[in-house]
Amino acid sequence: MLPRAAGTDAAAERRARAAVELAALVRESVAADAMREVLHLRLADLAPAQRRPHHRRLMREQLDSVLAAARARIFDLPNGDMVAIARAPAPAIELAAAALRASLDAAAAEAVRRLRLPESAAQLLNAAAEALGLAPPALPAAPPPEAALPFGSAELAAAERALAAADLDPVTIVQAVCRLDPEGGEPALAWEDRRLCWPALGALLLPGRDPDLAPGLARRLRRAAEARLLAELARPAAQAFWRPVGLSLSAATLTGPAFARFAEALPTGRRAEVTLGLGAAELLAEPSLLDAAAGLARRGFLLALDDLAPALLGLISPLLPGGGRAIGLLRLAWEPGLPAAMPDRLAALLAEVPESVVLTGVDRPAAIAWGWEAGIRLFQGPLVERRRRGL
Amino acid sequence: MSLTSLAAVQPVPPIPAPGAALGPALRHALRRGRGHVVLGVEADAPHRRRLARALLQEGALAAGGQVLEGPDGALLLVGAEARRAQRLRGLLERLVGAAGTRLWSLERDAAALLAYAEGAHAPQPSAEGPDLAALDAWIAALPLAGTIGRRIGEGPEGLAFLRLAPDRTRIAAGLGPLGADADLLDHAEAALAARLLPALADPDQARRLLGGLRPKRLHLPLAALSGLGVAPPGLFAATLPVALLVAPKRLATVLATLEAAGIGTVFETLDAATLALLDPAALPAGLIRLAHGPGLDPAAIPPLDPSRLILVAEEAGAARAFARAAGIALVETAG
Repeated sequence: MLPRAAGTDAAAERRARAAVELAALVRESVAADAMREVLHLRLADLAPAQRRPHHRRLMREQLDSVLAAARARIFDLPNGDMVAIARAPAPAIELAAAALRASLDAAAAEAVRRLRLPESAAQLLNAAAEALGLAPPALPAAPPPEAALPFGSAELAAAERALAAADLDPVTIVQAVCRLDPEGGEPALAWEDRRLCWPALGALLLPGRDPDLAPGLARRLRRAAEARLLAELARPAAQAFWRPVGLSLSAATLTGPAFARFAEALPTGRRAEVTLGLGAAELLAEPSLLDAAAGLARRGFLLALDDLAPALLGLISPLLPGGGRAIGLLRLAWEPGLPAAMPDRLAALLAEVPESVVLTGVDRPAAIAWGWEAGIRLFQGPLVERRRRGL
Repeated sequence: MSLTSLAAVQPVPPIPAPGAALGPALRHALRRGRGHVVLGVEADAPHRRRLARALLQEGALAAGGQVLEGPDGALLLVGAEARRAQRLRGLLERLVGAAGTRLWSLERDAAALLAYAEGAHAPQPSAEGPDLAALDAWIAALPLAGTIGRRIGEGPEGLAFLRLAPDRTRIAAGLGPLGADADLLDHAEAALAARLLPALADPDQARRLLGGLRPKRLHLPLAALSGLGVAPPGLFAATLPVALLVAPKRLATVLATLEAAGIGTVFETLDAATLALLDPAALPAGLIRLAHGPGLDPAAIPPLDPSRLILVAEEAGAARAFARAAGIALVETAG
């Protein structure tokens, strides 16, 4: 047992040193007024079942892979917490946070905190001290009011120029939609959902600015990013390694020239392998969009109603799949209350067209169990990702 | 007085920016209007314009008045003595043709003149418009009076409310190529709406925005009211997009904030197509705008309480008949 004990000691010493180094980096950052993006994963906020060493190792691997190219420093603290720091602007930090949250249950998403130096120096110093056992866990100080930089048309113009040269891969979240059968067997990939991670894209193109300050401008930037995404999917290199794909596009993109070019470049047979998600809000605001959707469905694309809360099913039932309508798929957002209150409209839909529902945001076995009982076979979410990786 | 000798009158004193001084000058002239007129000349070609301006300035020495620029770029001699202005008009017609001149009487045409001057602040339709980076500055420079559209709501007792909201068509026309982008129009709309309340607090601007009317209620965009702590009870109603229905959490927050501030709600705008997509019974309390159009079937209305509806129409006559038949009390038109 001696070597192992010695190894544990060495590891403990390394971690204690990491906490001290973290404190030093924070102080240096404050002294130099150097802007840094920080990700803090607090183990204490995770359910005990997710704090086991192999979970920790996996999360660490996830951090490593996302941050590999970002010149970020990762500190493993004595209490198991992890802190990643990179010089701002660092969209990779936001993406890493999104990736971690995507692999955690919704209830545990709080465990992933995003901070910025030098503003949040006190919080980080507390965390380092707490990890070393030096201080009682202080109440997390309220983050100081962010001195939000303005976001206006001048910033948008600069962001659009930056977007033209930006690499979108690091800010794209890919989640599998899998067919899971109650009879067992491996999760079978149905298609890959590719979505731009808006916080990460914002951090990349508008560092330190809040796109919500000007929603209209943010939507235009989003459209430009969607056009880039479509252009890249249509490139021959991407076509050579083609996989069925699910996209979520704004209405203006779907009816605009970027999508027309994408559809043109796509071999006819592949259209059936493209799922296009549309927001219910956009359809309500512009009902004529349904005609455009019907046109796309006739050309072979699969149209989906995007991430709808169960309570809204009855409200907009004429938009739901079935009865030869344009929308062929419902992406239903999992909620823990679903098993207790199954919406009537959903039961009717599943009885009519059982293959037309994907349960999204699946983060616990109960979601899959309920889905199977209700007749759903397509699933997406953190738990599906974990099962695909054989966990 | 010959045209050639006048053409040599140079340089011409600078004229203020279009429309800037027109309103005050016009009001001043209207106060002592008897026997005086406003003479307008439309001259596009630069040399004719220079000449027309010189003629007007020369005329002002004899006939009195002030040379200004109108909203549509026309040159105006405001407050000139009627008979001399009539002779000047004859001279100008030789320069720009009979269709190029206008004459308003300050006694009889006051309303038309004020309406014309109000247009002074509308963004000019433009083929170029601002570029993207300069958009915010362009929006900030737009005076409210010309960009806010006014619609009149009538009830059983006459004027029930006034609806003020940025006029997207006018903004789009001024924006040039960027005007085709609905998201940028949303942005401009929100920025202009945010300036509405401060403008209404200023008596002079409020008079222009309200068009001289004294409504008991004002329907405004949500962006105009979102910062308001407490409003005089019953005065304001905020317009909410129907799409908020599918964002229940945000909707609840918005409704709670408005209720706490004493602001009513108006959902905008259901039409035949929207009615076919959603269950109107799910709309929260408050008024609902319903677009009057050929596709609107009176049979589709029953799930909605007619007393909560505002029939929105371009053409008042047919809309009033429809509203009477459907039991709808409120009709909103461009007035």
